[in-house]
Amino acid sequence: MKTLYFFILITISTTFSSLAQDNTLMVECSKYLQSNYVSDGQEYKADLNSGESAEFHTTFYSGNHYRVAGVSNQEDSQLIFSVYDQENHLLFTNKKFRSTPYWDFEFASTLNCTIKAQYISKTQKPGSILLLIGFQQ
Amino acid sequence: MPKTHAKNRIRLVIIFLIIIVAASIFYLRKPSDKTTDEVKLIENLVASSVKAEHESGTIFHFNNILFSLPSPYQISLILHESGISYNKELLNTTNKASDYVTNFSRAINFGVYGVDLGYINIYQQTQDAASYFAVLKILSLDLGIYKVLNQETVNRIETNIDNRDSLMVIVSETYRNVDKFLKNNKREDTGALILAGGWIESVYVLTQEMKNNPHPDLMQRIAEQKRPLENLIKLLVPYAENSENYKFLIENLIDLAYTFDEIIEEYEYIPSIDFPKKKLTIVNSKSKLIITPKLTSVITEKIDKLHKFITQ
Repeated sequence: MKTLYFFILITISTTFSSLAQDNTLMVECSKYLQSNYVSDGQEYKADLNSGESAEFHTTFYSGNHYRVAGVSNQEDSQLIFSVYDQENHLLFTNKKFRSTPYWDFEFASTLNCTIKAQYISKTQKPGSILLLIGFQQ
Repeated sequence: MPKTHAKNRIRLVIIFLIIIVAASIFYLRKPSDKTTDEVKLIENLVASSVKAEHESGTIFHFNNILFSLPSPYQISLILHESGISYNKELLNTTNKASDYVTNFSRAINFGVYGVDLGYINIYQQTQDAASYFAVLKILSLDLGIYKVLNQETVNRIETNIDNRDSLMVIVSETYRNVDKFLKNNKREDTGALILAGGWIESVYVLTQEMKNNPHPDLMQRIAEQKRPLENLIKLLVPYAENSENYKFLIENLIDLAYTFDEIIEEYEYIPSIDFPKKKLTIVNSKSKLIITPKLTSVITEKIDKLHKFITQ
């Protein structure tokens, strides 16, 4: 019977730990979108294995100053995010800048873009990534 | 003997609880399964806009493609910056809120009123902000998302009701938290409806203003809604069978997308310039959308019809 109670305790604590990790991701990522930036009101989260990527399709309006911020929840991991245009030309990748967790963008024209976020873990652990998009007031 | 029965019952209840907890965790961590037909339908839609995966070594996951919509605040900012004056007549009246009794109408109008509050906020019409915020609070209770719009958030909003910039940040953060809450609770359909309401309302305001102030810049802004509309449809399609309301909404959005398809797109790739010290990239590529006044008026009519459907 004690084993059963222990098992219940473990499963419940796992659930809470997973929710707590989600919150940690949000807190960590929000740090990069402080008071100057207005969020687009959405969060882009994906659970990935090492080497896998998630895609985020979005429209950036001309004349706006945007910030894209991305984090992952594993300490030994990296989040590579790259922005492509509608013809799949690479417009930016943080690979060139030591996987910086945020970057700003200004667009001469309104563009439809794809943001690819790739999760890489040195120890091959699966993890979660979170991307936020904000624009400057 | 009765003691043994009681023990067995307790064991059975505990085992049942473990199964429920384990199943819930498994379900929460696992991406939702879709029927083959549904997946095919969505894959076809996605294939129309998603380029082939070129990077070797990466695994393409359909469930990891997410579609975003620009903040509805941006349209209000565009109107404000174009020198167009505040027009309360365009907003959804707050006294209609009590008529919204289904989850569908409450969720979609939560999006509508959110955009209206954003519009009021951009134009700093604080006298109207309080009633719109009150309606959002009531709808959040009805939708079971009051945990996100908690007392602390309410206090922050009420304290900053006349501070345009702070309020814009707080409301956007609140919307992001609502989005997160709904996704965590497997209520993506409600989240998609809120986004749909927000998109329809903001494009409604934009097209109605276009009727009063026919300006090429505004026409261009309407044309720019082509891709956000495609993304919105992709967000909603998985829920097409939820109810007749969903079906009607999606069918009409698809019909509107056909009209948007008549807009001619011209695109020229120009290399971007990075400014590492500023952590900034200037994207120089040029895109032009050619939209005729006739097409604009068809879009206006179709948006008007959708707006009536969601706010009636």
